Amino acid sequence: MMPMRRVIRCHGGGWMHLNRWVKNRNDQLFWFDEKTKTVRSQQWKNYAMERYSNGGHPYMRANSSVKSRWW
Amino acid sequence: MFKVDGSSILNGLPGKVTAVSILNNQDVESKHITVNEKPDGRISQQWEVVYADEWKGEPGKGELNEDFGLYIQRPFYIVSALNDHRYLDLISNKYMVIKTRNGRKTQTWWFDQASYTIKTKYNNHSWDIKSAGKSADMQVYSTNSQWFQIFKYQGNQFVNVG
Repeated sequence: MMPMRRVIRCHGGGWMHLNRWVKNRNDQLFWFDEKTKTVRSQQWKNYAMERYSNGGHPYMRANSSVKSRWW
Repeated sequence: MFKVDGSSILNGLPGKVTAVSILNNQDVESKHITVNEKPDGRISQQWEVVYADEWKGEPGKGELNEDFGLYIQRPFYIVSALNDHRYLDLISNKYMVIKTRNGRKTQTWWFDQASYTIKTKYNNHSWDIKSAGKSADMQVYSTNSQWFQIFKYQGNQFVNVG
């Protein structure tokens, strides 16, 4: 909720960036997967949000290897 | 795994909880999203989950941007509340001053939704705090949408919100 009201965007490589909202842009949409308890990308539906490098890196990214671990 | 807690998005095990944040707390295009800081409620850690079917999108030309308190691309004057009610104007077509009404384009302003900045009709440059925000003086400058160019109209005041 910064002044510019940018949204999180999941880029092709999985990195999460802050970007201006664009209409109908699926890489800015996410959904909650009850089965794995993870947040998934609408653009790459098999990718889930995680803290990179099994929680050892400060950046957030999306990964297709969904482990449902704490990170 | 992540959970939404109020306006925070949290990760981690009990005792080691971290919050989803923005690198260097900067509201800048393509900044990395991070998740290594302790939650402290700062604005760069605050998020709003907006469901796509409820998202109204951005307002269009002539519509009010409620966050900024200004109508989009609708020209306006800015009149001082001081006794002589002078108009916000430019000298040397760049530096902001107050002057009596003169009908010049340098006294006409408009809000640009694309950049979230207030622009002059004279040359469409944006309000700008001089020296990249390090000065107390105001001017118009080419648009970059950095924090020192972002202003909201709240109450009867223009507030820098960068």
